[in-house]
Amino acid sequence: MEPLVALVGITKRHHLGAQLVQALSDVTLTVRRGEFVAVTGPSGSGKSTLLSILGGLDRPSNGQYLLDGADVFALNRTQIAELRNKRIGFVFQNFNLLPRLSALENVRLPLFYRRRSVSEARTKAQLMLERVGLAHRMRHVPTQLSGGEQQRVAIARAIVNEPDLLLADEPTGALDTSTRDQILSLLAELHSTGLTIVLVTHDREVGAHARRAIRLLDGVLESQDGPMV
Amino acid sequence: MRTLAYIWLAFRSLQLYALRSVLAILGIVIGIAAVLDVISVAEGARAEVSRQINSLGSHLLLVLPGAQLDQGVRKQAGSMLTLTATDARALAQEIPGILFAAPFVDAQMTAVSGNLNWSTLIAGITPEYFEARGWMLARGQWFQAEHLATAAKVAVIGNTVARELFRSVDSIGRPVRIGRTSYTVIGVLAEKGQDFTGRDQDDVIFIPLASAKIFTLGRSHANPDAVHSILVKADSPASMAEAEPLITRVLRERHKLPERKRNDFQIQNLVQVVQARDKIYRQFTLLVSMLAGISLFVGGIGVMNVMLVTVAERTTEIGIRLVAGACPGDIRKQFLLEASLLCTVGGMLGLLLGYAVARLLAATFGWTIEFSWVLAIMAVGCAALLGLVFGIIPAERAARLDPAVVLRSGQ
Repeated sequence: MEPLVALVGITKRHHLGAQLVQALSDVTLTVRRGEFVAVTGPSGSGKSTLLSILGGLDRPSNGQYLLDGADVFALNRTQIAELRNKRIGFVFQNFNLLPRLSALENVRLPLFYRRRSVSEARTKAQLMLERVGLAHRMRHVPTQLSGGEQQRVAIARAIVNEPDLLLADEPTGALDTSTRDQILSLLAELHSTGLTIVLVTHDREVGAHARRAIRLLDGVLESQDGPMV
Repeated sequence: MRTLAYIWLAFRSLQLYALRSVLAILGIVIGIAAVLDVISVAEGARAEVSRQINSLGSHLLLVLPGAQLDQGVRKQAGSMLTLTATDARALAQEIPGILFAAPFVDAQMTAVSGNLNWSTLIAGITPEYFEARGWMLARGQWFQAEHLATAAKVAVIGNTVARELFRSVDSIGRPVRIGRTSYTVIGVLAEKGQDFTGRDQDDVIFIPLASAKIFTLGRSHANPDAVHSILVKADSPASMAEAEPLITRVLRERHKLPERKRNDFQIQNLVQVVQARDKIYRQFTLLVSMLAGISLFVGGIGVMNVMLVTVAERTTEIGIRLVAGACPGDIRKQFLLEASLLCTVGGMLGLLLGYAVARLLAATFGWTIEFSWVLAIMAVGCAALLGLVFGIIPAERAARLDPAVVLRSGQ
């Protein structure tokens, strides 16, 4: 079966001030549908850049990114946006919720850009919040929620459009240990329903929750099939 | 439908940055208020002018004694005495297109009634003067020919004089003393208001020309038949056009002026004078509108400035939206609408301010103000458009944002 994600010879250079930094060098890997993959490596190894490219947010300097067979960066910005909207969900270390919108409104955001009718959107968003166990807090704004709750809202937002792929950048980095475990078990639960997850982390313990590890070092792919040690 | 959602989104965003937004649109608020007020005042003035043209009566020329170089300032009896009542009769008879040529003498004197007195304009006239100037009678009667023939001591008084000298008493049949002579009031005129120079037209007492000359204003020994002015009314616009040169010819003949000598009289077209004033109002309106337009432009730049800052501050928000699946067009639309809404709010505030100031001016100074709501709505529409135009650059900036920024900032 064709892989969901195929990266072929991905290279990314960008300018840091006057210097030219090689963030990724000739990275080739695949992710199959339904996999739970951790991308690990020290700080500066290019993990976040890889995630940006997987999310269609950053254009590689060279190489191809095929999502379900489609060449993502052959599309124009609007088409990529639509792809991102429907097929990819994002979770960040610092949650990235819109601070003055309620939990419900935050979860609704991807639906707003999907041009669905309003009433359906509200219901769908509410369902997602129930899924992550936060329906009772849906009218609260982020400042009224704990870190773990905010991340759960962010996860609800990421999956509200029922994407094929969930990308998580250090999702537990800003959380304490017990909350971290809660979030990770939520992700595992979502994975068990068939969601493909790519999780970026420098924390080995976190990475151990995944089924497969991809290691990066200085922008180069070290290994891509190894289990976590 | 989605546009409504965006408008709502814009509204909420503006609420978040309320103080900054208000300061940004100050230029627009003032610009719009200023434009509306200037146009309201000028339109009010022009409506007044229009009314005055109508109240002056149409097809009128004023012939005055004195050289052409004069500004037409009212002369005292006894200074240039080159026009006579006979001149007036000659004009009426010899020039076909002329309906009347009404002679006029006047002086400012004190009129007395009982223990009240009032300084007013005493005017000696012939009956056709009333018709020439479009006067209407409120009570009583006009002068008849016999009043003139017998130099009767009768008077027709204006509304202001009736009010000041007779208060609530009916003035008809009562005496009013002018100088050493007592006149009987036979008529009271309907109100006319101010003329185009701002003078109260109702502050006047009309007496027959003959009576004026004999009893009250006196006559000069040099030229006993002299009058201060002749009001000429033509019967049509065509006659009006021809009248001036014809009057000139007749008077020059009568005054026996040789070829070279200048006219010893001048002819004023009253309506032209008033129209000249109207033109001045219009030019004034145009000028101030241009200035207000500049203010609007500056206001627009202020909005653009604030929007640029706002966009720079909200990169994270924009990034989150892009990550959630917004395309550049969505972001562009969001900020364009925000800029437009900002300016529209400015326009509406300007409208309210303009209306309030207009009412204040009308109440305080008694000016006639014509506030046009149609113009006001158009002004608000212009403001909305201004917002769209000045929002283009900030919206483009926002739409071009690299969403990877969001991820990098997360480190």
